[in-house]
Amino acid sequence: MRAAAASVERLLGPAGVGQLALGAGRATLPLALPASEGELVEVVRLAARDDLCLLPLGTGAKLGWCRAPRGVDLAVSTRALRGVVAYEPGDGTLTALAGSRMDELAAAVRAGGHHLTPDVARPGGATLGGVLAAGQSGIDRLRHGPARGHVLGARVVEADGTVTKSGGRLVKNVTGYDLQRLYCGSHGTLCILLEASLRLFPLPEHTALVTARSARPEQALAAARALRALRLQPLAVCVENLRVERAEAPWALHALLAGRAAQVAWEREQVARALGAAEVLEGEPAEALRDELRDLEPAAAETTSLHVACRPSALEEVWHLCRDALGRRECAPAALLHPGLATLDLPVVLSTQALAQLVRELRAALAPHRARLSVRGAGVELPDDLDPFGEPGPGFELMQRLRARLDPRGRFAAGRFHGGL
Amino acid sequence: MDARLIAELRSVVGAAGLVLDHVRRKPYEYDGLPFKKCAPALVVLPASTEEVARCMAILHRAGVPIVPRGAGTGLAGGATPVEGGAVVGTARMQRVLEVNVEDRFARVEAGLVNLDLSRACAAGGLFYAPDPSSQMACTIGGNVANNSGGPHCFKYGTTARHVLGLKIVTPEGDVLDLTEPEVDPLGYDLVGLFVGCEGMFGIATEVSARLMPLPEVTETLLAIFDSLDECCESVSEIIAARLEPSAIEILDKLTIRAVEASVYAAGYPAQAEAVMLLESEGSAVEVGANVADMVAILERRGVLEIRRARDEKQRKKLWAARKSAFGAMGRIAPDLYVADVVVPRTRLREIVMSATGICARRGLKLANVFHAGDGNLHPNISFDRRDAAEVENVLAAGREIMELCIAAGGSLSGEHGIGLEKREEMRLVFGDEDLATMLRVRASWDRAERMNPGKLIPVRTCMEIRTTAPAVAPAVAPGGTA
Repeated sequence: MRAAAASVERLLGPAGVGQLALGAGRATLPLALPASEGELVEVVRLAARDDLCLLPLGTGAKLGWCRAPRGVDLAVSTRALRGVVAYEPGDGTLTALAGSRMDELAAAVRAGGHHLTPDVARPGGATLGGVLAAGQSGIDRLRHGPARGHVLGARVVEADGTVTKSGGRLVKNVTGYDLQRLYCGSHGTLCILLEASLRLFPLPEHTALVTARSARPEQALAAARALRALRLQPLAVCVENLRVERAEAPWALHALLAGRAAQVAWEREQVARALGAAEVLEGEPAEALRDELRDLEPAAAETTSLHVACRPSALEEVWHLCRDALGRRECAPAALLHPGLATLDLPVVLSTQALAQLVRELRAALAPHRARLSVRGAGVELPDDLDPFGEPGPGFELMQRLRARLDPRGRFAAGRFHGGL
Repeated sequence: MDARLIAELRSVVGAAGLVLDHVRRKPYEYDGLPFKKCAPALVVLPASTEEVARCMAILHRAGVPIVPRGAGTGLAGGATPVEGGAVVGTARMQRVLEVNVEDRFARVEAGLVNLDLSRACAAGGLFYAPDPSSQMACTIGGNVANNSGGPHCFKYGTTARHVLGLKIVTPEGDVLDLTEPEVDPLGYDLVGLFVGCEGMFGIATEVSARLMPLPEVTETLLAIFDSLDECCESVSEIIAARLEPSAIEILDKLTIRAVEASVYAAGYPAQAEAVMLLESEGSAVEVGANVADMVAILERRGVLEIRRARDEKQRKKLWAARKSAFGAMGRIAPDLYVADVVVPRTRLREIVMSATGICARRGLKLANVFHAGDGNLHPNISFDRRDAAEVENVLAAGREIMELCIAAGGSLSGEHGIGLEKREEMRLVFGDEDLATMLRVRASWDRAERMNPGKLIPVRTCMEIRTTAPAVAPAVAPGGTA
């Protein structure tokens, strides 16, 4: 590793080398910080020449979604590759370098009247490349869907240092295979993202947030079901007890409405009527609470959490199974649920052994409900036979072939992703 | 074709599932691209995923190339057979397997006709958004292979955003069941990668399709202009104002005349130089606000007349004229070359004018129909395929328009795909190394490269041009591209 650090320093100078701390009690890795595309290519070529294993990252905020790195010689971050390459408000598209911070990109397009999706938690600590590589969603997922649906094209550095592209910068384009979709959520195991183009959405004219509090989560989930039946188009609906404001009613259902002012006003009336006694925020206070709710997603660098996804129809049943399993371990049932999407984020504080046992038990209980559980969080070393993402399913062999074809020497992030990809 | 192979296939699909007869094989010789034609050695029409899998395994063992086919409505030659190959069609797989209203998805067989999916879920208050103009004939499986679009993709996105899961039969005949509509994929997004693969990765036999709540209100506007220029500028202004109509379509003068002379006449005035179809969907409040803003823009741009479709019957009539525009063109000339290019939306007007100039210089008749909101142009050039010189002239004009669009930051295809038609033009957009990566991804699915061979990737890109560790690293300027 020392040799790798020295080689990188020769290549990039002292400013281009740092250290990546992998958490308490763990080693640090030398970190390459290329400041240009050319430098990044040189680092990847250096790795090819010296047979080094690389760990690609942005800020590293989501490294904890995968297994802890093993056998990595050098971390390489794209965070210094920042900037908007093209933003044409009339086209409604944005092309930016992978290291651009999400909050800066959102501010840049807001000036042109656009909303950047995904609106992820803690956008000041997340890069575009990191968000796409992790397949991360934001508070706006319910309305806009996953980011992979809006990535129009990408330029990437492949394992041998070659720069290739797929897709383009146009809102509609079926020219060649959609490799940029494959790269989304691949956690840096296929290539390093250099640049991506995204479709943008209109910035909402007005935002309102309707909150209904309840003593029990079941009441909040029932209210969420009633909201879904209204067939409105909220930006987000979430149920949580992470930011308790009233001890007698720790659970809150929040419906975030955003769009044209007249539409928001109309939806607000519908929602308030369906929820009965509800608190309503409008404009800036609503936007502030929206950001707070967005940032409730557990931070992998600090918290270990279970992330569960199922069909919306199975949500209540899945919640009960999770609540009971946590209750048996005397874990406080803290949760952030997105009922429309049918996802649950459950922070837990358990020893590695107890966590492994909980995961095994819950996966078995959730399987009949077609629910999937993954473990997110730093500091968790699950046993080798317990995959943080779930047991490999159909298509896994094909995934191995894709990885072998695109990174034949296992240059990138080897073995950290699902099933050891 | 080997008699033993045929007997084996017959034992799987029965006599009804095999098309061997020379005359009955004729319609399978081409798809919507009239220039390319090839007689398949045989056509197999399995009736279930299991039959597809068994047929694929048999054909794989025999080393027979396979061309998958839905309804054959594709316009880029993606379903054109190959010499000595088999066509595997999904025409006998049209069942709706499940409509899940609560979880808002449907599981259907790949051969289901697009429009039948929306019909099947309408009772549950839901619809399937992608609506290619051929939606009365094209299949969901074909839409998946081509990542098909349609007028309403302006608001809702193309097929890729509406496919939640797939059952895929691999080239070797294995079945990959990825039909569960997962929030996020486990591992790599194989479903997302498969959409738009143009039949080169395998055959999708089942599709889990996302359904959306039917809008409370749909309002359709027909805006009539005496200038195509102003019509295009209105579109740019509507997009710049971020008004989000669900569709914005433009038909030019020649198209209007053809439509009006046909059975689909919608009463468009003959003096119009261009008409724009605009649709807004949502709650009454939202639609009201959007329509008022759009009308203000149209009026500022000197619209001659705005008609509003107030009921479903009127709305359907306005759309029928648009959706049958290609068919109506038959009145102008026996054949129609439907080009499909896409440009940045800010450059719409300029490209339409230049394309018109290209055809005028070549003495060709150009009629424009386009998904203006997406920057997706369909310049339609009329010709007679019996006139070889004219065919050549049309193809050259098509290529010139394509080059023009690419120079303006556009691309080869907005929704029809590459197929055979634009295979060589892929080089205008992608370099050897980009194409080599696509080939490697393709080889991960289809090691023998027997699925729909010869499509999408230019013929000369047949070598692995890269090594994993170059001996000498070429010099790279700081900030430059390698």
